[in-house]
Amino acid sequence: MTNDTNTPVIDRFSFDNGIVKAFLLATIVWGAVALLLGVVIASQLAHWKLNFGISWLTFGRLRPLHTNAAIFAFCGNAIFAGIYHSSQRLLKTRMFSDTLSKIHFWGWQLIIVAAAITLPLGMTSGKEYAELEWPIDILIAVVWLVFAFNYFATIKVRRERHLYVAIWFYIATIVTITILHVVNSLAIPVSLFKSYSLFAGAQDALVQWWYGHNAVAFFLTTPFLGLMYYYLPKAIKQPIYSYRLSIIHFWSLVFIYIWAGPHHLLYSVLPEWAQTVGVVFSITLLAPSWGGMINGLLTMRGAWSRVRKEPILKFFVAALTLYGMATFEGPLLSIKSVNSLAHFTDWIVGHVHSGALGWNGFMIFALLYYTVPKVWKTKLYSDKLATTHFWVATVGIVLYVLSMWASGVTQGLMWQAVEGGRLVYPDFVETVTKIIPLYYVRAFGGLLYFVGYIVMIYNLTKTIISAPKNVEEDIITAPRLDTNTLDAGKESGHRWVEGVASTFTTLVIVAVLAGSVIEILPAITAHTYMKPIPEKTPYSSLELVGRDIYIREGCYNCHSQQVRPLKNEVLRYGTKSVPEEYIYDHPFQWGSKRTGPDVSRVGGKYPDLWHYRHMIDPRSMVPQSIMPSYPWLTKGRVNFAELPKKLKVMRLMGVPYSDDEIKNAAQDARRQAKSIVMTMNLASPPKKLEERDIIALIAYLQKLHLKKDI
Amino acid sequence: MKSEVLQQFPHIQLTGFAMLLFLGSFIAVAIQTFKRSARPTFQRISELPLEDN
Repeated sequence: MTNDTNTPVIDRFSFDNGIVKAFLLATIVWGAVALLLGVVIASQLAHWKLNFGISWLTFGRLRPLHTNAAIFAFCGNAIFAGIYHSSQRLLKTRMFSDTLSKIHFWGWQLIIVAAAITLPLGMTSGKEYAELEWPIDILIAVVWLVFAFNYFATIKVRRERHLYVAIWFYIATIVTITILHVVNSLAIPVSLFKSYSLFAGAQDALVQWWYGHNAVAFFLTTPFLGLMYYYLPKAIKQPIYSYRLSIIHFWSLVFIYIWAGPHHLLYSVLPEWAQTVGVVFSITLLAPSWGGMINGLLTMRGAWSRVRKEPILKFFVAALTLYGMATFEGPLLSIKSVNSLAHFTDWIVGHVHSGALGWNGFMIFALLYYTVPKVWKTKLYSDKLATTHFWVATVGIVLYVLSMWASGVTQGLMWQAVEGGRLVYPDFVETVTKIIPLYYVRAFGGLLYFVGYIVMIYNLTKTIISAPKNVEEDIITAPRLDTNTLDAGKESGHRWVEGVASTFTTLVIVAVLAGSVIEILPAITAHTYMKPIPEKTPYSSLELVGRDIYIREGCYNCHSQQVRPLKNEVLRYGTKSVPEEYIYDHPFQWGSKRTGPDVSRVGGKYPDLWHYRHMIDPRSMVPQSIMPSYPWLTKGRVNFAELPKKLKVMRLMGVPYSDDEIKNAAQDARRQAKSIVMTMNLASPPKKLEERDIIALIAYLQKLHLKKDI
Repeated sequence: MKSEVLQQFPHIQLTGFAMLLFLGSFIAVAIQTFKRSARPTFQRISELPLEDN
């Protein structure tokens, strides 16, 4: 824009640092919560009594809270802090709307508080990293759209024509997370905090892990890469090593990542060709991931000597190195033969945490140590404390990851051990007791990481307290963007695309949708191929309630429900899983970890009384068990009045309940419950035992079988 | 059986099409990006983070 004399108009404005400060403070607070929860649940696995016999403190209820806090509260607030800080500077403009920024901030904190209340109370959808129930899902969508609108509007009013590479990563994050969240959250509500996933069984599994893996990609990777591309050059005061490499890196990553989701479903009932696509693209993903890592590390050229003295650079270098490690390990784990050993074991937990603690955690610490002094206009209180934080946290990560590698390989090999056609370790609990010492090491590693975090909180608190008060924001001057006077028309190819945000965004959506469509289409159209089998009938009304209790207690966090077509699994659990046995499972409960054994063939294996005693005190049936006790299941009452509604919702999604079954749902459930109580023939059963949660759960567990081989 | 039926999944050619689409796009982006004439602009863009305080 020029004035009448053809000189550019110079605008004067200030950046909104208030919103940056808000998100930084939220990051610091929620990070402490997330990490403390991690230490608690790690300790519970080492020492089961730390569940304290309290329902909302059990591992199954707290683990989802930990993952949600770590991903959405800690990483989420950090991402927003970095995005708001860097984008305003890269676009040379204040955020489009301060009000929308505030709505975004407070809306996001409300989501976190809602999660903190609902998840320990067992209000969960039962889908990993998407446990929040439908009212909170709607709130997430609204808040996210507020953020998206504010962000794209800011791009529209920018004063810098070119969109720096960090902005592309932020755009990719915004559009892809929108798609992922909306599709994966599709569900039909039964009540205010209970819903059933629209998808079922294998269909649901594919949608879930398309979402899950791409949540890792587009929430835990792309925004952090964007932050790396901005903050690393800032910290070193030299530009990124190869901007052109960053372009190739971006497009390759955004396209390939989407296809890798099926690597979570190897040896499952997913079709072979879909599994192979997941494997191939996971291995291919190594290239762009390491391209980004190499670009970051080579940016350090000429500045390596500063790493010794500057803690921020230590965190950046370690973050990038651990990113490289995790993105090498991921493709390795995607190879089927490696996956057959590693899946369901602690190796996967180690892999996740090397990325989460190393890449995400260390990038956040670098962001905090760099940005807090900048926005509060002061110096960091103590470089020495920051360095101490770095080393304590690094030792913590090493202990965590090494113990989980050892534990995971031990589990995998013990499960696989077959001699003379028989399992060498037929009792699952033998494999658990072997690795408990490693659980103590892991908990200690996590504790060290948390201690380092507390050191950081102290350091940053002293920094903020020492900052000058009531400092006015700097006034920035920049020429208003004028597409007539700038050289927009002379550019071509990617340089042109970078200046046209809407075209750029559209191309990102196309890249993301290409892989999504291929991955999701077989799932979406599965109902046209899958036919019911006589061996699998819909859950009875009582069994359905029992399933809801299974989900409520978070049993899927420790128990899987899929028998892979591997010799040792068929020997240990029974018939391999077939996709048809899950067609009524809204949501699927395949699980991704075996702290305890697979339960998909547990039906009929033990009498009802065994399950009754086992749930109240697992050690009464399995003396070395580390499973929490669930005594409250004998006190909680089934809501029989709600059963017809639950069956109606299920029928809406294709489960073939008849009108009579729906009408008589409560009556049928009571009859089945009475029959179970009579079978158990307890000497002095609790009053009205047939109305208690535990009977419904027993009914569900006894349903988990296939009556004959297929 | 789903596995067998989905092997007949009629849209499997889409996978091949998408891979070709990616390969073609990758080559086009790589050529555009690494052209000698693009260097000065990208050099300038790479310094954008250093322009602010």
